[in-house]
Amino acid sequence: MPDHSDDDLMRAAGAGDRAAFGKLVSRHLQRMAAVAGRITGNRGDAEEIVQEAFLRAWLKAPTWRAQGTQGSAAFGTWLGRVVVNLCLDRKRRAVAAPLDAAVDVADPAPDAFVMTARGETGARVAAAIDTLPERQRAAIVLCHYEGMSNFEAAAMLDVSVGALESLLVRARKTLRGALADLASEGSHP
Amino acid sequence: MTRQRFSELISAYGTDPRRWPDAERDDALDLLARTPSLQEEIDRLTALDAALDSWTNPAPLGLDATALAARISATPQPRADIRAARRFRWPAIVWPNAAGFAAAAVAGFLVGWSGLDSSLLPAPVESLDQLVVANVIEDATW
Repeated sequence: MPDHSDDDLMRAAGAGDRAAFGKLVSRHLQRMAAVAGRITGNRGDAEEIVQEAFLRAWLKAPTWRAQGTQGSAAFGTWLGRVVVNLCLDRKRRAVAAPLDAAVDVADPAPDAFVMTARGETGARVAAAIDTLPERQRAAIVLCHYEGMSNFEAAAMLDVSVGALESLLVRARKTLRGALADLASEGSHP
Repeated sequence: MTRQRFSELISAYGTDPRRWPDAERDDALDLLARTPSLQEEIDRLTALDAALDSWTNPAPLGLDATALAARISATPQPRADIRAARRFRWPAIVWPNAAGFAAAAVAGFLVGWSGLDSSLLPAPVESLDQLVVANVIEDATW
């Protein structure tokens, strides 16, 4: 089914077509994994979130209805919103977990898989991004790293485009301060 | 495209035009070409973009698409007809209640409009002054 839209595949999956669902997973797994990996900064969390998101898609399939005329974009946006919300929920739960329960909670800090093979600068950037408020972090990940359009990113975050821009401006301002030594190199050629 | 909007664009989306909104990219590039001083703003923010780009894509997750899809799709799906039936159950409960409420409202209006024996109602307060004086006396007796 090389040319089928996501909506076609979702409808087929809703009728129990497992191959159609497999095609959907293949089409979106890499991008969703990248989003979850960067927002959570934790491989274990990211894997769980991606699996949960695709499970929700499978359970949603029988009642899936095409949203607008851009069906493929609509499914990708819906799935992305599920992933982003799961990431933000995971981060909130980790922060709100009581101290005495900390041994049972996955470490929300960037783990080895994100910290490796990026070099010292990359590691500093990852650490700085991890300290951003959750929605600012998600906005930077979606727009800067995943190259999503402003409309798509805003839809995934369930905010207006104006609110998305505000998140981005604040995030970049904070990062410019946190990475001042790196971010000022260009101004002194 | 104004200078202010241009500054907002690069503050939000960075200095790489590929990240600017499609609807504004051409106008922003035109303005940049006509306004050399804007290049200073670009130069001021370019290093941050370069720093952000040094965080390359994390290692891929250990998920295989085929195996993941096979595992998930082994889960039974909720039947669409059952879910649809559930969606239509609540109006059947709500409509009789709404009809009853409307009937009671109409009956109340008709009773009030047609006139009711005034002896059944509390004595009317003749004026606001009377009500205020009564309250003052009541407060003073504590």
